[in-house]
Amino acid sequence: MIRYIALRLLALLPVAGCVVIAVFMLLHLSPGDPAAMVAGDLASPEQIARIRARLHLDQPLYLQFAIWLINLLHLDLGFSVFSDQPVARLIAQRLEPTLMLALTTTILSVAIAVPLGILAAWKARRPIDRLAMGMSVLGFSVPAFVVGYGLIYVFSINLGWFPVQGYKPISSGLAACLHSLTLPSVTLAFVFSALVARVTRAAMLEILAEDYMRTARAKGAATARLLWIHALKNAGVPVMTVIGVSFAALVGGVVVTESVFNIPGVGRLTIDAILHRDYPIVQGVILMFSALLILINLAVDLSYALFDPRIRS
Amino acid sequence: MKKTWMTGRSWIRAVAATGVLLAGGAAASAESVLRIKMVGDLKQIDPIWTSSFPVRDMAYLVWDTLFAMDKDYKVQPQMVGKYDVSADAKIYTLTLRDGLKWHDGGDVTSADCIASLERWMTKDPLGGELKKYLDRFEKVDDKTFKLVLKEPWGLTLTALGKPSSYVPFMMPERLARTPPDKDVTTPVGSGPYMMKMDEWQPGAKAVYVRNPNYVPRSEPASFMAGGKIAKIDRIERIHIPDEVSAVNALLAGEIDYMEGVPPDMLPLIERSKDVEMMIRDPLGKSVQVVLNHKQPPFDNVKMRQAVQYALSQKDFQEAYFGDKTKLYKICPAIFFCGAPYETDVNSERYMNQNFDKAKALLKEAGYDGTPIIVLHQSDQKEFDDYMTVAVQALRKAGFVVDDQRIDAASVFSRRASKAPANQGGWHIFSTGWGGVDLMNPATNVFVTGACDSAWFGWPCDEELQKLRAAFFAARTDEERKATAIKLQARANDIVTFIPMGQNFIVGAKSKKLQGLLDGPVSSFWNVSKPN
Repeated sequence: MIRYIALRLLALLPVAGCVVIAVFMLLHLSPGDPAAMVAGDLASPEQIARIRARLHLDQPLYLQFAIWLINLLHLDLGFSVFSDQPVARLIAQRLEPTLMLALTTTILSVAIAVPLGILAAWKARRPIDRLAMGMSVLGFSVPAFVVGYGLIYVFSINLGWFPVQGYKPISSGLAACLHSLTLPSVTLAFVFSALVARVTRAAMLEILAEDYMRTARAKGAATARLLWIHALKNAGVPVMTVIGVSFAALVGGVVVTESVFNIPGVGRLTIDAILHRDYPIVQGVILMFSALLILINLAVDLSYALFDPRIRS
Repeated sequence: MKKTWMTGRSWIRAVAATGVLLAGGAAASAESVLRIKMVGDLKQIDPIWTSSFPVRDMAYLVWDTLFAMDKDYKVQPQMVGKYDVSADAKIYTLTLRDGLKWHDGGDVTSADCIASLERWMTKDPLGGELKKYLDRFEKVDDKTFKLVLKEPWGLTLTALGKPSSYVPFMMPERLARTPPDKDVTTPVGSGPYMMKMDEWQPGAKAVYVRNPNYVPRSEPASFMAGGKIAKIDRIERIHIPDEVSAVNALLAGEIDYMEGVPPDMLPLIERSKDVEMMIRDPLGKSVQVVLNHKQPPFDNVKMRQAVQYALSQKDFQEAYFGDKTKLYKICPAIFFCGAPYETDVNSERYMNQNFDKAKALLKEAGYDGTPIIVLHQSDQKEFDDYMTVAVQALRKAGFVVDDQRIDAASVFSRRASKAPANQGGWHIFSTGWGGVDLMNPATNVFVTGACDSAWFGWPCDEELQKLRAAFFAARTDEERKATAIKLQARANDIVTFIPMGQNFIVGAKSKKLQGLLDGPVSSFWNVSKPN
């Protein structure tokens, strides 16, 4: 197992490298000059040229990439073209809101979706199943910003229960933090619980039709034990996979929800950096994303062993 | 006996600790906090490195100026306590007010101011003009210094009190010695507020706290001049990228002030009991269509004049503002309506849309149907609307249009290209400038006629250059006014740009806020927020 983990970690390097090179090339080949944007409307071409030189933007692409790579080896992600702040600091500022949002959304989604999926499979093709799957289709279909604005209108503007926007860091109190994340998490859970519920239902349906389930039923196993212990454990692999993928997507940035609720997360940082051609930030964020994605996939792979002893062996 | 892992007292402590954790920052604080949402994001802090307006606006909190413009567009002393102009108008002696200190506690000195002006003159076009007239700076003592000119220049104080980018802000000498193409990253100023760098999150939030050592002038505040009294303890500039969310936050009382409410959301503000709309800048801003003089077919003046006939200010403004006619102004003046150099001279072509005359000019010019490449900025609704209207009008007038919808970053990059239009260049783009930038021929970028050194579009015209030089050399206001009229006539003849109407930046504020000043820049001194 340790060898497996080590190999997966090693695999991080080439994958992250490929992603970073691809993004670096795509971004630099797209039109847009950060120096012109930094300098503003009044700058002369000479002033813009001097800013380009200072930022090494006048160098050939391979040299720019090499400079970035050498800095990276010194654990230096560079500085934002615009704010001149260290990229690592800018990403760190945005990580907490993103991770907290991903975590609360995942917990909420799993808490809603797994029981719903199990119930739907247990009562397959009955009204409760149709209702659950109907809700799931709704979750897929309605755009997040519609749900978000709807929740803001009801719970913030009319009832005044939750803030319209903004994120309170954990340092301001866990309650305040969770309070600020309630509506964004519910918005995202609307989509992600739909996904998890459908996958749970499908996996459970397959397991419930197995012979050993019939045997357990014949031996008089209680329904709850049958569903939660015998069935869910065996349906766990696809469910964990979709939860892992969802978490990765949440960490990767949910720009619309972050914008609607003004959560200063990594998603917004990335889009903003792309729009302004702030290359060092984009490169830093993509590197972090690819590393995080691989680690999440690794964690999901390892969790399979909990459900399936064959993987453990 | 089974060992318990927690005693009763431990439980009480744990519950109490959890309570503290959950309550977190709930501890009451008596400080007054103003939360504002401004147009754009604050990505930099150095107002001399960049001419970005968000940077300029926030810099006014941190840095101060020697002179400043009041509501009558007159320049008044600000950091300067007294000043004297010699009889031959060649020596300006400036003495700083008592009690001026930097945020780090040091005194503001003549050396700081001289270094700041030297850095500013390398970046600002008007500062560059001053540099041409300047013989030398002379430090008299720590609080007094002289500007010694080679010959009299009537715009010296106008330049020193320039309210918009690049504003001649004063910085400590060690910061002012930063090369102008490198940014200052330490916001040490002498203004009424201090920026908290540890709380700055570019793209999210910037925080300013009251400067307890600031000594305001005794005169009432007026535009950027007069007594800047910091009544609010803490200002949080919150960046909310989604405008619907920003309006909702204002209605819910989460922010106190919002700059730039989109016209389609104004009914929400109008219906609210707690919030009201306001227009702070009496001049507002204007929209311009810019043509590339270097590339055919717009190297032909008749082609450019055809565009003047094709476009309509009313159509432009209606596209964005709809029926909110009080929010825009149809205006013939290139130096702004409502400003000292307003005139309607030679504006007939762009004030009277006429497709037949446009077509006739195209024919006279021998237009061969070369596609006109329009840089259509589509990531900002206002400019997207304007260019949608422009493209339709140009087509109706007989132009073949290649409508290239791109983002702001691409427009910024492409407009700097002097290459042929079909090789990465361009023919037309649209932009916007504030009234305070365009109201004076000395700062209006569209009337230089300076060929390759001119603003994008690069109009090249010797007569315009001579007229601008005459404006700089003028000794009286009457002379300047007369020259400004000639400048407009010539600029419109050769079509250095096409003015597409003026409009106002509509803000909205909590009715609790008091003392917000009018001005070309959104200022936050003098503002109070009684409970």
